[in-house]
Amino acid sequence: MIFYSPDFLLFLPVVLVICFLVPKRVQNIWLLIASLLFYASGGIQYLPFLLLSVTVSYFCALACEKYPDKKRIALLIWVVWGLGLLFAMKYLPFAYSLLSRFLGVLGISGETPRFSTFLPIGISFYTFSTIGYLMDVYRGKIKAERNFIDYGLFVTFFPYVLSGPIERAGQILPQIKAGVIYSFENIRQGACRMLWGYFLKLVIAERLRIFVDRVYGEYQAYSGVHLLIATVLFAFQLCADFAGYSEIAMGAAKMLGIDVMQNFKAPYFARSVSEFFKRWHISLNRWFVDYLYIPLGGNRKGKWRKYLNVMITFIFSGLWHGAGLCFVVWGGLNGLYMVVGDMTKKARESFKRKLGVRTECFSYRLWQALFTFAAVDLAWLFFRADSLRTGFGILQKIFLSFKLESLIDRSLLTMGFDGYDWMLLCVSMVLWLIVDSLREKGNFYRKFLEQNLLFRYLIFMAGLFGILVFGVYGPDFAAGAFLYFQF
Amino acid sequence: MGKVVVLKKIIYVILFAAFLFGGVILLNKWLCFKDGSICSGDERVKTFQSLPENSVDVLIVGSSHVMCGMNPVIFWEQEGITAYNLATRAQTLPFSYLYLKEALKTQSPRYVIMDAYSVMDEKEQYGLINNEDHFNMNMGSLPFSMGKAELIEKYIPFRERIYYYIPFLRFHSRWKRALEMQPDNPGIFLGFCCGEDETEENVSFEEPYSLGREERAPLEAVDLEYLERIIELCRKEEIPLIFIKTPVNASKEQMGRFNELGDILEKEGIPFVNYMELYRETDFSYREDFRDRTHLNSRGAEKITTHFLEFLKEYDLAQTGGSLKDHRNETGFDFWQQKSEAYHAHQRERGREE
Repeated sequence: MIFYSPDFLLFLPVVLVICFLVPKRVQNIWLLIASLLFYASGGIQYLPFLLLSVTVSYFCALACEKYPDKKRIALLIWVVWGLGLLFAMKYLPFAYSLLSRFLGVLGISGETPRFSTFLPIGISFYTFSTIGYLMDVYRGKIKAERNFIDYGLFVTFFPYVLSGPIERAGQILPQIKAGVIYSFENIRQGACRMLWGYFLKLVIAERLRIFVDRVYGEYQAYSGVHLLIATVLFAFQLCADFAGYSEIAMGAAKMLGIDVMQNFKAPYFARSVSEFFKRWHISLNRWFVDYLYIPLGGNRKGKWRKYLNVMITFIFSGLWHGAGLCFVVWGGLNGLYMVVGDMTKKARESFKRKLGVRTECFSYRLWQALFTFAAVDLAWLFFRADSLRTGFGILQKIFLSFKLESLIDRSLLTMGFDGYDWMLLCVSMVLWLIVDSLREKGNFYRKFLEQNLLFRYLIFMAGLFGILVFGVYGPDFAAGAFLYFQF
Repeated sequence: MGKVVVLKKIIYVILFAAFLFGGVILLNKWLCFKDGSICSGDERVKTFQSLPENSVDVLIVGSSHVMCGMNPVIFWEQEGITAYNLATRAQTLPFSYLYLKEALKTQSPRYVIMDAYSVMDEKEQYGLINNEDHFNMNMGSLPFSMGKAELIEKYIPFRERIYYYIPFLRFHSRWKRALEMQPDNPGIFLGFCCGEDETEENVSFEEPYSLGREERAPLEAVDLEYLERIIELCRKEEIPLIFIKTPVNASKEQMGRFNELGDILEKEGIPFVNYMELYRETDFSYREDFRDRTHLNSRGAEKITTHFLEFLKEYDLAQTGGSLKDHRNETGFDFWQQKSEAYHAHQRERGREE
């Protein structure tokens, strides 16, 4: 059941209404049942893995608290169990292919075993969520949850179980325990968030997907300019897709009175790569910082160890996104940006001082944002490419087959986009830019809801019908699932 | 919460619903199904809805067989009868029933002429009811009604129904085309399709084999159900019903079903003017009067319509003493005269008339 399917648009009001009607003590039971139904709609065969993860992590946390002297064992059991399962499901074929390549170099070859492609949906998200919970219990930051229903709901809550945000128990469990808070304000704010999420997903991301898929699918047939445009547009497609998903998730949770962490904060406004990762997939990056980078020693063990820790963290982040060398390169590149950025920081500062560069003006900030975007987008190229060979092939074409005439020879109108699509895309992107700028300045939704009724209704209806008319969905389009479903 | 606050919230919700509902209606009108072909219901329904109330004497309902075989212009020119052809491509009886019901909301014709085509083809095999394109082609132009909802519930899978109840969700990607001006479709006159040049070539057939008056084949349940409902509706509205079948190349089995239909209609006391047999009484020629395998050209349509008109006059005289009036010298019927002139101009332009 994906967020923009008619099923979900029916499911959510039903969940809300029933939650409203049942007694408060039954609300969490109902929400847990609804969340499990939501999850099972993506494949009932995946449900046992989720239930097993919930149960084992629940008991491990209790054991962690009850036997403080053996809490390391309890934590280890869950980390090994959770990561082991994730590794077996997601990374075994990749690890085997790397190993066989290595053995091939040594002249040893063997029969290739067949690996199952069975990968429970959302496993990367809920495994990380439960590991985070266990780590917090282990560190004594939170108490182990005794109520199985509440804990189960924390892990399986339908707005984020499939694609995040990777929530923290300390943030969500108190809200779950307080029970669903119904308010007109929450419903309105939630609806506005969802509407914006649908706009990002259906009007921008899905439209961009048509162009990007076409160009990346047959990259040999296109010029460097086309590939560059597709690479730039992919950055926006991915952002609109995932930020759209997160907004819908936040909106759906908000309707039930639960505040879920904001996962995206206008990432392309970032003026450095490190700032970018504070704005992009915030829940995952914080997870890696809290549960990998810091345990590795963070920046406490000297400069070179810090750089090593950064590289390890980013390479693992890449691998979390997918089992493939492209993702390793994506993570490695971003790690490298961070390391090089840190290493050259002093030199850059002194260079700017000597040249008298004004750093507090708009043009400088714009330059920084564009430079950061270019660096991040180069990494996205490998993230999107089917293989390393394709990634380097595309990069080579961008530089060696750069024909500016491709911009004016109308070829851009033959890649699944016509003039109307380009026009609509420009208008949508400008709207996105405006809304993100306003959101930078405060609570956009609350401010919007403070406006007069007629204005609110007109804007809401324009948004709703705009999405329904200009969105890419329905039987005419084989709309893709949210990109982050596969991670 | 005070009463005023509750009242305010109720008003907000009602206002919101009104905005939502209004928007959906507008978008459904703007982004409805349009196949733009000469056989679609788009223009036929639009023109029909613009006719003055109770101005149609003879309503023709059915498939492309009557769409290309019954010419209302002839009704007007020869007898001053106002006829309208509310046919769509491969319109089967469930759809015909709905068209009839919709038409009777604004018109009370003296006669309903119903096409017998529906019994000819197997509905499921050819997707003549539940196929998405076919359903939209037939239903897309009709406004929402309980009858339409019934057909959606009956023939459309649950998950797809929303696209039929709120059609713009299905056709929303047509906004680009909707922004461009749609030219009027030439070649449609009072619902009659006199063809486009490229399909107007004659297709010559041998005289049909012995049509097998003795052949019998059972009708499908869906045909039987809607046949009964159409008969019931016409009886309730006290409108005489006449079935017609224009000439077509039918198989033995198809002929058997036409004969079976004839038997049922005979029992019900409803005339069945079957040109599969009656064509011999006309100067209709299987060699010259078809434009393709199943549809008549304008010459063939003229011959069949003229003969049918004779039958109708006699029948009307016998049944009612002559309820069909000549409107040619009456005011308020300019539309039929204009369409008649436009039809001849069209035919002259294409070299079919001097």
